[in-house]
Amino acid sequence: MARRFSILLIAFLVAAAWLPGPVDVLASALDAPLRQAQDDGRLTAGDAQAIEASIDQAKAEGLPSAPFTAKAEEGLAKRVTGRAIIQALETMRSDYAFARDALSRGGRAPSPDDVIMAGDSLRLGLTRQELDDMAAFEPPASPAELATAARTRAALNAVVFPARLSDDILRRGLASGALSAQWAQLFRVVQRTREAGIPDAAVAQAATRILADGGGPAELLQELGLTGRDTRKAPGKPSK
Amino acid sequence: MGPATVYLFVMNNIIRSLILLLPLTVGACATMDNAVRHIQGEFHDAQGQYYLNKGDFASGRAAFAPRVAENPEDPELNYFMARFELGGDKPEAALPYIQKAVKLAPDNADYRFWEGVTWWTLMKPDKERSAYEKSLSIDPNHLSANLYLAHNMLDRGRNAEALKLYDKVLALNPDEPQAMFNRAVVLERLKRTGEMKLAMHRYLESYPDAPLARQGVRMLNKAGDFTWRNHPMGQRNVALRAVDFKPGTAELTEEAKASLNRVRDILSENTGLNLNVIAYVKGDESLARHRALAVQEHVSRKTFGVGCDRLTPRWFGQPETVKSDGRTQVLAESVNIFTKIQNP
Repeated sequence: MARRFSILLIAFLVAAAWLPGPVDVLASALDAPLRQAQDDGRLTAGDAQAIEASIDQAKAEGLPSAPFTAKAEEGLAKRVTGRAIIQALETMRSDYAFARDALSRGGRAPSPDDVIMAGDSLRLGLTRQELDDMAAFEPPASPAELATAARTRAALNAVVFPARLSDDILRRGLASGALSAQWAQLFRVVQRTREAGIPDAAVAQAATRILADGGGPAELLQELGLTGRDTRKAPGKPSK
Repeated sequence: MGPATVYLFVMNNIIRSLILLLPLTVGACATMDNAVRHIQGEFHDAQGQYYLNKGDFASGRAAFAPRVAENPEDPELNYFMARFELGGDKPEAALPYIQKAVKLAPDNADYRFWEGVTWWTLMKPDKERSAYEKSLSIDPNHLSANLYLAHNMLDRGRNAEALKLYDKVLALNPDEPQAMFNRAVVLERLKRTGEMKLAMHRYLESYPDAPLARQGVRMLNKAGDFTWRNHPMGQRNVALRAVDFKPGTAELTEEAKASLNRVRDILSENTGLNLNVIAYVKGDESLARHRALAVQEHVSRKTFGVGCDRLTPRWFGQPETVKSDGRTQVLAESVNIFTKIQNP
């Protein structure tokens, strides 16, 4: 009886192991979409090799490879030409390498996420000169804070926030060590305050004050007479 | 293998095992199909909450995107996708998912609430308000919807309605920090200064370390109330209840001791920080001196790594002049504490 039960149990466990799981994540390898694009005649064998070589080169340079794979997948899914995908990957590689070098100044060791955030910021409107300048601030900020500053500045540039005011805010943020990741949302505060007729200079002044307090954009909104919302978790529970 | 991987591995195997065991319990279930769907629903809920609680929106999105593509009419899957997109700062991507969730489950107050949050992010205040109102028509005591509807009203300058809603939130949860704070803001706007001060004192006593505390102190100071003050300590301003004493003595009150204990904690954590302690007593320099020394003595504790040399006491037999919001205030008796700048 016991032996029969053991056999049944083993059979059950083997079957359980083989049954497809409900949370299996789709394989993200690039092979299949590359092959499919070639089969469809959208990509030459040379372009496919160049795409793979570009990703390999990024890896060899110690850059985080996941965004490169994702970019190529996105291009293939959108049926972008092979040349355009290769060009986009080359731009990314150059931006990430520049960002990694800027964030590594003074022997600092940026994480892959820091490099991605700062590298993508260059694509989103931050100039290399601006990133260089921020990396040279004294006292030196952590790579994570610099990456946040890069993203914040890129987004502020995109909404045409005056460069001098951006400088004031980010200099204060990096000096105080209060530039949390939430500050990347500062451009949304600017959009909202402009809608309410509040001048950019008033936003910058309040932002430097809130950074001195160690607060974030939600507190900045309050300081400017508006309220914030938490988009990540429901409010209503005491924060004690 | 990280905790998330272990969690997913365990959950996967539980589900696999349950699915295999189902034939044994099928008699107890209405149908096999319903049972599987029910278990999957429970699983989606547990896993979705897991990603939300962890704040790992990218992984949540990656896990749920294929599922919602397979089951586009599942309201819960659409809801979680909306939350992941919203959490990942992609409100435009979140909107169609939350709208679908609302359409598929119109009686769910939470879905309506998150639709409101999505509209706020997209700067559509009318649609935001409408979503919260629908949420409240389903569940009038939905705390989050009441709170954010109050915020919506406050942003529009509809102060009386905002006040009523904040009062309702505080009836549901007397310690809700945003409602406590913004109730004081509304009262300030309504020029009900006395009530504003009471409300802000209540907030500061409950949440002295909150980022909004400094703003609360500025509001009180602007109204001429200096029972709380912001003190520059290191790279931060710290909101502290005023350091006061039993009348005519250098004996600290219990509230003052609590404030000074926070100062000690800050000094203990920040070993490079030194502070000035300046006591003012109009017309009594000797008492001012004793008070400055009393503060130094209370804060200094070798066991906390805070020697008395970390605080430099000074005293004046004259009142303190404080500038607040462009106006000058004179305080007959006070103690000011702030960072001591080190000479190079």
